[in-house]
This record gives sequence, structure tokens and C-alpha cells, in this order.
Amino acid sequence: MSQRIVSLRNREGHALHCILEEPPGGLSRAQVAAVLLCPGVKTRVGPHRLYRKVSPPFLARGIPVLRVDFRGLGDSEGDWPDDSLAQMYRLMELGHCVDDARAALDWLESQLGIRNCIVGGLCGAAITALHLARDDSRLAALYAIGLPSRLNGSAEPHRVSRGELQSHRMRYLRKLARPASWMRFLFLRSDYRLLWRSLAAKWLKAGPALAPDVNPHLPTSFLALLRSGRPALLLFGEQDGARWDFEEKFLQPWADALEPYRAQIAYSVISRANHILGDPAAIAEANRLTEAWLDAQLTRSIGRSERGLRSAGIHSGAVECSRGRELTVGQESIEARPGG
Amino acid sequence: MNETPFFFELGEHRLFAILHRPKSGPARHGVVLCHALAEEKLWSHRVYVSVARELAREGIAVLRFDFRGEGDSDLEFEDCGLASRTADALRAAEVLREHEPLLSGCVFLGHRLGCAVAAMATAGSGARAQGLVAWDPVASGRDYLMQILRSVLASELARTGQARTRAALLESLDAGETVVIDGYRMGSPLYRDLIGLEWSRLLEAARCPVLALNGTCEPPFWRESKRFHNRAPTMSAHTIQWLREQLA
Repeated sequence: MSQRIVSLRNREGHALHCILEEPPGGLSRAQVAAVLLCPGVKTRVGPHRLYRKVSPPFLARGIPVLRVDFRGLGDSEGDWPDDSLAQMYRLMELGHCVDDARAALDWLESQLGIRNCIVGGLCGAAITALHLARDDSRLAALYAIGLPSRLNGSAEPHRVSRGELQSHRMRYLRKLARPASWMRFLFLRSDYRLLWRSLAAKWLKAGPALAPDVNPHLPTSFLALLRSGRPALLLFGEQDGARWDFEEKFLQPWADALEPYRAQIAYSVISRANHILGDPAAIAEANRLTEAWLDAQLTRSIGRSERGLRSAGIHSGAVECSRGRELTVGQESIEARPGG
Repeated sequence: MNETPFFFELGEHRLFAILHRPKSGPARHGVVLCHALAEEKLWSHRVYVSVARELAREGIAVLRFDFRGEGDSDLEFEDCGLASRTADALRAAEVLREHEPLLSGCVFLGHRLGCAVAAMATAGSGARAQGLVAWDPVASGRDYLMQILRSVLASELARTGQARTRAALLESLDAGETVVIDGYRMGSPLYRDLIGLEWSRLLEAARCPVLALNGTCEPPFWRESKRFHNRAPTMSAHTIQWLREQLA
């Protein structure tokens, strides 16, 4: 593995310390870069060094990977205006770090001449990349793991999705035979509210189509990405609550608006995985899906390039993908899986 | 700020480091910071950055680095134990002296499991070890391991609806297999080191001045809570005061 340190500055002058992983053939032929942004408040390497583990599919295809620390996080300079974790997540979900992501793209363009970037990462990284997609065409594709749909610290109470409640219900049913669980229940240590809601959800009617706690920027940013012909790879762990939020609070209510862009969305749920893909099998599956998605995108762009239409790059391939209305590899139907 | 990120080498491996220097003039003293394990390190990271900056303002050069198997350094987590971490800390002390040739030695500052590493590094440094500062040291490696295994079982139960027993996990580790903890694979080197680790014995063996601070003077910033901790004001203040006195 060949890594080098990149220290760049954001618009406010903070030094952001990043790591650039170079592909085996070096940087000279690279036309596309992957930019993995700080996931929430964890550092540029991610929980359990996730970003090192998900880099091989990019590197093997000649795509360098830049891991970025946002201001006030990791080793970078700067501070955050709040130290409540919920408020920090909220700020990130509202686009607090977009300029830092843009600074990374500026550096790639000015220093390496790379104008096409696959941007994203885990959780807060993915939503920051979506914000960036609205007005930065250098973001050629979205790479999202556990994309959050909900806005943290919202005045609206968190509405647990029906899918998540069903998952809790199944967990509670499995615990019926465990004496320790009964002890927790009898000694008032259970979450009775969640227990009741998970059991009652089966008989309660579904709420309104658009959840009040959904991030208001999610639909506009996501549709901006798709309308400009850019593709998105969306990976969720099966046990990640964000997955149910995304399906029930965004995919289902917005199904009609998303339908014309279906071919651009590669959406996969990784079996038995959690939010951070904390199991080696989950990483292997994520990488398999990423490889298939990258190959599909790059093959299309190279095809276009060979026909002399445009320079190679994942962006041009995405345009063709959209026009051709092909299904992307690894995709599930966007109307898929009803939550309850 | 006078901060320089760089990689240093240990054999064929590269370790990520950041050197914090005083804003002006040469450093009067040096500190090597030995971080906590895995996710404890990630939650504490910003505290390390802050204390390094505070020490630099006191005229002390601080080398923060990632142990091999963690952060941006080489090797996989499962390949590394306390021995590799101690070798990393000793090499980091050499690197600090290479950058600050006027320093005759350094203080090792450890946090949680990093305290054990710092203590072993002071033992390996001989007269060059000018002090040991321990922030909430892990008292018993075995107890710490059991806590870790409890969290493995809880996450297995949540994920699959069933979990192995702790005895079964220990059998796997004894057999040389790895166990996944929050995404990190724990292998034999760390497992065997943790089983035998007793902080009190390391403390008895220390041949340099020691400041040991227990964790109750700060909120537990090394694990997830409702606050994002970017400073440990009490521990930092005690450390700075002690260093002023010791190194005067």
C-alpha cells in the first residue's frame, strides 16, 4: 500500500490533514479519484479502519483514494460550535462540512488534474457528499454507506420506522426463552416504550407518507444528483436503522419522483450487517458490490471514450446509464421491500 | 500552530505521526503520546490533539503517532500486541529526538491500554525515560479482555439472535483464532498480552518518576456519550503542572 499525507486548507484557512492512497500503477494515469469523507465525528480512517478496508476495489481499478479529516475532527485544525453529539450530527446533516469536502476536490483538481470524483463514505460522509452534489459537478458519483435520512436533534420526535420496529419485535420474541431477558423485564431494566411500540406496530396503521423528522435536504440533493445524470451506490447493513429510515421515509414516499432515474441507483442491503459494517463478511460483500458497480460504470465510460464522445470518466458513463435505463449491477428495486 | 504530519519507519513498516512543536524556539522537553486501544482511541482522538497543543504551548515537543495495526499506520490490527506497540513507542521516542536533537530524553504519556505500553517503553528506554504519565490505566488486562468479550457477545446477540459463550470465545482465542470486536479482529498477540497484564506490576517496575491519574476526574471521554469531548481539562492541567515540576 502506498500512502502519502496531503495537508490542504479549507476556505477558512484550517489545515485539513488527509491521506492519499495511490493505486499500484501510480497517479499519472488516474482520471477519477475516490474521496472518502470523515464519517460523523470519527477520524478519516473510520470506525475499525473501515476506509482502509473498503479502498481495495477503487485502488485495483487505478482509482486513488483520498481520506479526508474535516475541520475540528481527527488531526485537522478548527473547532465545532457545539459539543453535543446530536447537534454535531445535525450540523453535519445540514451541510456544515461541505466546504471541507470541496477543498479536497479543489486539491485533486489543482494538484493531480482530476476533475471526476466518486465522493462519500459512511453516514455523515454520505450526507455531506449529497450536499456537495447539488452544486459541484466534479462529484461524478455518490458512494454511500448507511446514508442517514433523519435529521438529528430535530424538534420532531424520532419516528421509528416500521421495519425497525419489526426488527425489534423479532428480537424480543427470540428473547422469550432467555431467563436473563425476563429478569431485565421484571427488574424494570427493559425499554418498555420500545417493547410496546414494537409489539403494537403490527396492528397500528402506517403514519403519513413523509416523515416529519426526515432531513429536508435529502430529497432535493438526491434528485439534483440524479437529474444531472450521476449514479449512486447506496449500501446499507440489514440491521442498520438508517436502512429502514431510508426506505420508508424517502424511497417509498418519493418513488414516483425517483422512478425516471431508477437505472442510476444501485441500492443494496447487506445481510446481517450493522451500520458500520463491523463484520468481515459485511466488508467482503460491500467490496463485491462496489467492484461490480465500478466495473459497470467504468465500462460504460470507457465505451463512450472509445467512441470519441467524451473523455473517460465515471460521470460520462453515468449519463449513458441514465439514458439507456439499464439496471445497475447489485441493484434492488427502488420500490422494494415494504418496511413492515 | 506548529504541527507536522509525517510517516516514520520501523523496519519495513511505516507509522503515521504528527509532531507538535512550540511555536517559537527549540523544545525544552519532549513527550511521546501512547494512545488507547481501537475505538477508545477514536473517541479520545481529539483530546490527544488538544493536550498535545497545550503541551506545545508550554515549550514541550509532542509526538503523537498511530501504533501499527491502528489508524493510518501499517499492519493489521490482529497482527499487533503490546510488544509491537512498545517497539513502536520506543521508535517514536528515537524519532522525536531526531527531530529535536537538543532533547536528552522524553516522557511517555499513556492513556488506558496505552499506559501499559508507555510503562514498558520507559523500562526499555533506560536513562532516557524522564517520566511516565498514565491517564486512567487499564488495571487488569484480563478484566479488560472480559469486558471486551462481553461487548462481542452483546453485539452477536443483537446481530444474530444468538451468541456464543465467553468460554467459547476464549477457546477460539486459545486456539489461535481471531475474534471480531466492533469490527477489529483480535488475534493471539494482543490476547496473550492482555491475559498477563497487571498495571500494578508495571508500576512497581518503573524506574522513573510517575504520575498516574485515575479516570474519575474526567467524564469517560474514551467511549461514546452524548457529548463530543475535545479536551480533558483536569487531566491536562495535572499533567502540565507535574511536568513543570519534574522537568524544571
